[in-house]
Amino acid sequence: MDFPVLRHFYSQMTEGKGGFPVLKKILKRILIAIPVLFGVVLAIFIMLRIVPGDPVQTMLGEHMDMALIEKLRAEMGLDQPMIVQFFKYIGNAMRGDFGTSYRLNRDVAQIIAEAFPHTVKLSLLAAAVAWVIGLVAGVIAAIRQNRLLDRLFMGCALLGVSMPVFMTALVLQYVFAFKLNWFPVSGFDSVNSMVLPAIVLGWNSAGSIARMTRSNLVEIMQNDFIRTARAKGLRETGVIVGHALKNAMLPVVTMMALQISSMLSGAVLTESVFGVPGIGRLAVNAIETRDMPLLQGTVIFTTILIIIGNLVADLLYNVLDPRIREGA
Amino acid sequence: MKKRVSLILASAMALGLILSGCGGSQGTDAETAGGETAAAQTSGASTGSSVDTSGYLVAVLNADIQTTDAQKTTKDYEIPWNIYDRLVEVDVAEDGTSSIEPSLAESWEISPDGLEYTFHLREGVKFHNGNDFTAEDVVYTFNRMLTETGTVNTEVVDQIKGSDEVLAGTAESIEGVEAVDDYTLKVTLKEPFAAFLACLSTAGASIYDSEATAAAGDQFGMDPSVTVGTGPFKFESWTLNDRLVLTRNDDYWKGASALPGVVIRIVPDTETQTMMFESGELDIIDLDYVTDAIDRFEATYPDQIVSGPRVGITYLTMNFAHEPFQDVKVRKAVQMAIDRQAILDALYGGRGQVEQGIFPKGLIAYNENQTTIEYDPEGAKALLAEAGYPDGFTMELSADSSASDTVTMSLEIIKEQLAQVGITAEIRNYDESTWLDTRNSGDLGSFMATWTADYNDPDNFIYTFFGNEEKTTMRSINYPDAEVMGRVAAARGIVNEDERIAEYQALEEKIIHEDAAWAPMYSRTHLFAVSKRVQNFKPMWSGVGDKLYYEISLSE
Repeated sequence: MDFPVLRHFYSQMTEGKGGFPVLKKILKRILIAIPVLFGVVLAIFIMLRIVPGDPVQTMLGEHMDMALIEKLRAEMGLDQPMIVQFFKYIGNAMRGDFGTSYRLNRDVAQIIAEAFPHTVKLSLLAAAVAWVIGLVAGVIAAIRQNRLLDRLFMGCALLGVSMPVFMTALVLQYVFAFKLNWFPVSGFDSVNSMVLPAIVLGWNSAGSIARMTRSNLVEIMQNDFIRTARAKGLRETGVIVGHALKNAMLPVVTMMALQISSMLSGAVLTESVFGVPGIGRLAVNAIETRDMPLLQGTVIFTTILIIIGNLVADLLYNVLDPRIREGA
Repeated sequence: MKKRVSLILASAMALGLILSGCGGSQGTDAETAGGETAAAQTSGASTGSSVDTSGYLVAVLNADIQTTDAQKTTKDYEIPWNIYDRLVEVDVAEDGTSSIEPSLAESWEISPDGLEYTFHLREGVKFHNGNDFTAEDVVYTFNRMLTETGTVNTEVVDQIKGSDEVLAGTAESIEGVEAVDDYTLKVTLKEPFAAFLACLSTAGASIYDSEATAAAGDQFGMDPSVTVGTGPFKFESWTLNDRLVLTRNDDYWKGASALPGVVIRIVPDTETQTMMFESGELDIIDLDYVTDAIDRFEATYPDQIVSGPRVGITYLTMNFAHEPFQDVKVRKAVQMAIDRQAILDALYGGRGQVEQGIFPKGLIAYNENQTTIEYDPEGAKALLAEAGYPDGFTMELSADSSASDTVTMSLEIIKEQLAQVGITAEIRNYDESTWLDTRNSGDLGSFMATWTADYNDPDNFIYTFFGNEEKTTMRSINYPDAEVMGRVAAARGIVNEDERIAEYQALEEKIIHEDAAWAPMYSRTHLFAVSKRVQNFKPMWSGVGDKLYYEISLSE
């Protein structure tokens, strides 16, 4: 395959004085992503066709007969050899046509485009919860090491890390929506209705971030350069924010990127419990009904998200740690 | 820092290029790709409801539907029931008996040979777009069933003369459907089919507007703005996986509903549904969704439970192709080894009744006087010994993991009961797709399922399981008696109603009590809980979960 546009970009951005090592890195990642995506599509394509269960029969359920099954299989192109189906799919996908969902009877790209904003909203809110609460709690816990607040926050963090998402969801839903009536039980259309899902999904990550921030910070506070900073006469907040925190953030950032995939899988459950019409729910339904085009579409889409997430994390790493930037 | 941001943006654009297919001229492609996504998102948002839905009734479904085109689904009928009409409808009398009533057809005549149906259609009926309903619309609707891609309810019209030719592509339109004038329709069948009228009362037989439906193409049933019928509600909006909204049709020919509209929420989680009902966010909940909470609902809301019989038979199969079910004594022993009343009591609080055959209570041809199967473990043991299995045998109980918890629990109880007579049953779990696949191939072990009436005729039951070799194979029953199956098929054409019913009852006696082809279990009551403000909600005559909203009103 030839990518004249990419070549153009590449030469424009990398040639000339100094070059752009970061851009080189990005392009390299993107090129690696292509075979990864191809492999993922192939794997999901084969898996869906190996497992027993036929989308047409599942669609018809109790009401089926042979003539009807054959009519639908032909209409859906399922009567063709698998290899033909695969390359047809790849060809169409390259042109942006991801097929029509069997179960929902709509254009897959359109379904994903409709569902994605909900998942993004949910994930961003959850990430905000995770970042803000996680970091603040982690820093406070580190400062108040082994005191009451530390124990309290770390207890909550441990709870967040160890409780499965669906359990947190049900408990919070029961207490705050059902018993106290502060929030609606289900739905995702008002700010009020987004609070519980965001907390449920964010809590787990907040817990991990708080724990990691705390332990890193505690460790770094023992370092010589912190003593130097204190000796310079900096106030304790200045020492922590200006010197310690930045160094403690490195592994936390990496973890945040890894959290993208765990957030996406957490979103599957959160979306189901709270009735959020997002990507996660689409994927679950697609598996249950052997809705191949929709599942392939959501898998490709989430794969791209994870690739981008990892890339962004790498770039942030560059920003935070000059040693990596120079080494690239 | 600024430089870095622009680099990231540039690379994102490059990624966009790859995704949009790498062809074409530079730069503009990336813009197009971005533009398309944005457009799709906007249009997604605009399918959301813009009408004020306060005052609407709120109901719930546990999964989103595939389409509202009744010709293209075999289960998503809730919306079609409410936005379309049929030529005829089912009416239920106070005593629970149901009958075929006029709807878009005001009256009809059937020729003495049972082949020719002449329908006199109602005048002055309008579709939601203002078009008049005429015989041409019916002709169009019936033909569309056989010519449109993705239609599945072909059985509605496949008894009409000339339907096979259209399905095979050798004819353009069905010979046996003819608009005599604007309000007279003549339908000619291939051979007498007594259940034809009943068939026309199913959701799949909903009548469409020829002009609007043809213009809508594959968006019919998907895009609310082009999906029109003559029914009491209009299809207002559909937000995927979130909600469907119906709004009252003020010009409905029977008179407008008291209900301004309906919001149907899509909520997969049963705990969430329960909490929504308890906190007043739901007006109607199908208690089939929350079977394990039925007792709690009955205790908490004793005055808000609405129940209806289910014209549906729960049965346990015994695959004739599997050892040792070839032996009628073994099959009889299984019939006798199961204490059905105990299961009904333990899992469903006794709500329902033990059934003895194929046709459940409420169906025409239901036979109160047929042979009854008594729970008799000692007799079962004796039969097993006679059959050469004094120490029992091992069999499979095949569970579909998407079935409700109570079905799984009833299999556990059956397993215990079979163990009492020495039969070792192993429960094996399949996911829904695999389960169906295996069943349709004829190789599934014993399983328990429920068949609920599509239309009120014994043909809908007996033909489905014992109509011919293909039918019985696809249910993993593999009933071997071709002669009996020939009689089942022939019974469809018996014109004299009394003779036909007598033949069906004789066949039921033969298949279930002589041949013991399956173990009949029970028919269960269908329960719904409604909020205090809901008035006059009646479950469907057949006991399926689809809800009719026309007659409901809300008190304030």
